[in-house]
Amino acid sequence: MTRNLTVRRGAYVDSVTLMQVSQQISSLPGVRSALVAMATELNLDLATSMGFTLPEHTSPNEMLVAVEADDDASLDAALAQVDVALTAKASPSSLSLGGAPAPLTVRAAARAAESGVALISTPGQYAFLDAVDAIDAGLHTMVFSDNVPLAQEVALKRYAEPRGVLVMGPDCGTAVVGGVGLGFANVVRPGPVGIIAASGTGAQHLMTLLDGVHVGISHCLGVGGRDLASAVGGASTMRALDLLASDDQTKVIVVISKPPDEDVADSVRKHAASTGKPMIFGLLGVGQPDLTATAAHVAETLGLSWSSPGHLDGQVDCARSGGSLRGLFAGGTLCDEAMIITSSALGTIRSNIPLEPSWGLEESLASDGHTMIDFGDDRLTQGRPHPMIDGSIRAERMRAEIEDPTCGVLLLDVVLGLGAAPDPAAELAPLVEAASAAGVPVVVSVVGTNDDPQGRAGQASVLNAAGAWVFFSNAEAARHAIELLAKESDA
Amino acid sequence: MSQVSLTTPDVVVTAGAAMLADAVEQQGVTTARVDWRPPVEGTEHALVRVVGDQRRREANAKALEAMLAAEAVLVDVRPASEALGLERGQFLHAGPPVEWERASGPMRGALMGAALFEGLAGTPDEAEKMLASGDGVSWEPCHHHGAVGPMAGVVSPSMWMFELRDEAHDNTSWCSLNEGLGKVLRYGAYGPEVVERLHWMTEVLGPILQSAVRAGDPVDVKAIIGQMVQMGDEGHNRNRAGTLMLLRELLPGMIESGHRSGDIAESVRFVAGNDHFFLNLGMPACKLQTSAAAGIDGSTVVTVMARNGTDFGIQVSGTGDRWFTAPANTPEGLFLGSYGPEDANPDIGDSAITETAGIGGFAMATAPAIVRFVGGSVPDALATSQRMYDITVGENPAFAIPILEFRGAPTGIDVTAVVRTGVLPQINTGMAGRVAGTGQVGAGLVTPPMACFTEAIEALAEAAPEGP
Amino acid sequence: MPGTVPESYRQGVATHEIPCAASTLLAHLLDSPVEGGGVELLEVARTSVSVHYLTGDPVVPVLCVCTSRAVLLPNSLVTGSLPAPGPLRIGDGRLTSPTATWGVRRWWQPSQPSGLPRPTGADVARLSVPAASPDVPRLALPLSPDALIGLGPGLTPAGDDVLAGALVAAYATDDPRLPAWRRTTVAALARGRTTDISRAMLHHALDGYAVPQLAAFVTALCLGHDTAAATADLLAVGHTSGGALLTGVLHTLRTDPGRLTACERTEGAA
Repeated sequence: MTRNLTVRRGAYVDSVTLMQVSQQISSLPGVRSALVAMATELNLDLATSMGFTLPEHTSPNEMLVAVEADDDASLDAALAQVDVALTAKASPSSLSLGGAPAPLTVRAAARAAESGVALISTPGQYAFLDAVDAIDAGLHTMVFSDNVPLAQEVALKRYAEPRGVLVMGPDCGTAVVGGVGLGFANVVRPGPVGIIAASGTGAQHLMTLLDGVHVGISHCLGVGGRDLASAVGGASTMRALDLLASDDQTKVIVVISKPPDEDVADSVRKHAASTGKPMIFGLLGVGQPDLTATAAHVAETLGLSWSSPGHLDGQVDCARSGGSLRGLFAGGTLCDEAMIITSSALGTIRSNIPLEPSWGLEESLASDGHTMIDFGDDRLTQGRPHPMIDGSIRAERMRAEIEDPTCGVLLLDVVLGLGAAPDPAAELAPLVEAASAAGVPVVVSVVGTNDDPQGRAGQASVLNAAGAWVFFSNAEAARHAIELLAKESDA
Repeated sequence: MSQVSLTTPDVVVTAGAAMLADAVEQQGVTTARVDWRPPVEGTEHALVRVVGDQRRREANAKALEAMLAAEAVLVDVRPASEALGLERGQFLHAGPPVEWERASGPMRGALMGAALFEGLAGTPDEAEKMLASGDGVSWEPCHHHGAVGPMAGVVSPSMWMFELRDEAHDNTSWCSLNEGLGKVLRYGAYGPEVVERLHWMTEVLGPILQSAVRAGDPVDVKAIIGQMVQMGDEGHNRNRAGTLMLLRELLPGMIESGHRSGDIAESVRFVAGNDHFFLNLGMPACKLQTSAAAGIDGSTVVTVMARNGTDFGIQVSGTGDRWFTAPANTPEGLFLGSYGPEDANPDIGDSAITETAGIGGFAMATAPAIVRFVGGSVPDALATSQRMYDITVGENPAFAIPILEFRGAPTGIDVTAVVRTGVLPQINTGMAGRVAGTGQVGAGLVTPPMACFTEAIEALAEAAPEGP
Repeated sequence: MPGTVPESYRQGVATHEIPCAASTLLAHLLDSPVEGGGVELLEVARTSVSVHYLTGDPVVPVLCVCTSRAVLLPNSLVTGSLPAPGPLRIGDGRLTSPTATWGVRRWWQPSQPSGLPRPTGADVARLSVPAASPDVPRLALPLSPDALIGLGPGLTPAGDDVLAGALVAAYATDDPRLPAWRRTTVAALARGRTTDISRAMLHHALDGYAVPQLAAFVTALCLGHDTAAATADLLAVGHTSGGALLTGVLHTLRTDPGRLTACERTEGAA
């Protein structure tokens, strides 16, 4: 074992660096202990306690270098390393100070936002927390997340009440605020219609139908599918009504919802009357006007004339013999609307979202007579992307239906817009061709605008060239499917 | 009833699916994206209850407002027996309550040293036996008396205390006089030199400081902290500028105190030679700041973080003086001489009150030298301070950090934010030797155990009105 | 043919288009069918954040393609990526160059403050024309477009900015002098004498369209809100433009709307 203690003069180094150097030297092979420190009283004591003999006169402005090692070679190596470590300069790259770290919470992120909205799509069990942050920051808040417990939805909307902001959702797929599309939204132009929607695809379809007759949208405010149920009591719908009432651009208000709780509907009507702006209730249900009829009603309320958005003729003009109707949908409300229209002519429509409980499909979702499937249903989207983003499950089912002789007519929706698949027509076209070749007519409702990234006209022409009947009204598409089935029974 | 009108948003704040944020940016609208992460497992239900508590936002705003309004003025220096009414055999200590059996080496060592200093025992052995038996002695946390103590934080009746006032909230806080570094009582040392120094502080230093403070204008400690934060001190592990500024304030009064010039010179030398002397003023100032925010129903702001060398304890505004404790972590950092990690005691001291008030580790950006204690870099220091804004309710403009464009120090740790982000408060600290009598072995960085915060969130949930 | 998509079906538009946000004033240009040739755009000015094009269209004579860092003119299309110099057409909902296509992902309405009350004398008197703008012409009665148009340097001469500010404030408060000012401005513009870009700005100001900073200032002032922030934002527009716009606004709001000078009445008829 060997020891060395030296005192260096005029070598001031800050204590943190010295502690680092001490640590570095202590960890060298063969070094038992090391102290590189200014010769303060405390450090001199330490050196003594480590067994070193101190020189007689030192000053705190001198540096002690004390090393104890197993052998001379280790000691020399250690002392050499002390010089290296003390002269090491910070590398230029370490001078970069770096930017602010990314915010970890909505609260931190919202500090940068003066006027804004929040778009929350975190897992359902946490979305409440993130939404409260956004509400606290005074932001209108869209909760895209699904599986938010009902009690939390109620609490969230109650929390937002005194803060004067709107909670859109939970499970809100579509909104347009001041022209900015959030979630699945179509590119629409500014205009006089304010939409309050408890259904995402319902709102999308209404917007695109109005766009077709050059009627623009002021705001489209989703409220979540449960808002008009008695538990929630229309909290967001009421707030949205107030917001649209005080919005100069909005001239007419449309509320799109499944038939609400009667008491809630009454209070919504009363509240709407107090706004002084005309309100149209577009209720989605049996015996109610369909979305296309609601769009017509809106146009007429604005003093405009309504005309059907038209269609493109398909290749096959009657159903495959002996087959029934098969509807394969990405949009839940569009599926619902098609079932309501077709069941009045065809009776039972089996579905995973049946109109009557007894019309429910087996777990396997195997077709049984007239059948419609909503591929966007929560139970089918767990762990995989929504069919509006990725159409592969529906495409697979379409292939099976073409091979199934009991399939007479295929009815589909294609929803365009921000967030939707970039080119759904290209994926469907070969299947439309195959169906047409097999004698199965394909009826497609294209929900979109020409300004949508996918372009409505282009998508329609590709589908039509492949043989599909293309409609721009979901209701008209459903009615045409009935006609095609009727022709088969004539044959 | 006011409402926020609908306009075209300048910014869309997004949390969750990147695809949805991308779709917004495609429209030429700026997004502020949250680097979202799930909360600490098992806290979801309590969090929903606490975050959904309608009182929380107001309560936290009130807590922050109180913290920012708190004053800290040095008004007196006097013995603990007078200031706190401590009687013979009574001691105060750092952190949450701890009994002898569970007390750490440095805590035991400091109590033994204090017993020797007070003349309750003649030898360390006697002191140890007396303390273990509890015969005629008792101890409780400094925080239970509005006081704070660094490291072991042991206070006995004869020790002299700084006395600080917050007139705005009519609060008083106390802290002992700093003994310097190395073998000192607060690090658990109790040798003859330790006891001797304590006697000198009691007989010479205390009275001189008292004369100086009583003679001059009260010293505005909060103002000194504001200045030192702009001079490279973060107020916990670096107090160099603060110490010099304090000395500048006290020096005339010390000189004119009428005490022996030799004693005055020695006192000045003692203060000037101890870069941490100001710590014992910064700490009670921070205690006054956080006390101002204590006891507000519904508030989730942390008002105390303290360690006794065994447990880490926190208190939260909305749950009053209840402690939430868990075993303390051991700091990581650099060691003196031949000491190593195995020599270090778990985290100890009330000094984390500085972080509770927004300085110390929270103001790391202003003292980049400190991050090298764990081999970090200057960008690390900046990132650490900026990260703390994610877990605090506001900023303190009185403690502005120049390198962050004079942004106020991140202030008011929010229990909900800690649990949601998993980001723990960053504490700068000294390290005491594990064995009683050792003294300081190093300095470094440490964080509280998450369990303190998960326990607190559960208690806050219980205290919240019925919710979702 | 499971899993395969023939290339001929691919539209691929969404992936190749550069997104942009369009003013609704540009709708008829964007909607024009490309079969009919669309509208060819002729570049007249370029800065680091904007490119200006002549359209030959009477409603929107100049189209501005800009980034979000530019001052948002009412005739703008905002995008992250400006077109390179060279041929550019507009139509079928897109902007098309030989190498790139821009598609509208959002429509926005240009600011057009209207229906506002005239502010009280005290609110207006409190504001002063920034002294530090030597380029801003001193405004004397009467408001004479002939004397102002083309006065001063820059893409929008300061005199034009003053006039635009006056027109926007007049439109916003339904000032009875507006029809006469309009006539004289149109007549003065017909005689030329200013840049194409400034001409376009005045053209839209005749209908009350303003950059957002001007609209916010006029709105705050007329509604009696605190104007400190809005004033600072307005003064930050351009090099001297903000101060000149503000001068024009104050002219309209400080002078008596009931009194049209003889000069103002007759100039348009000249």
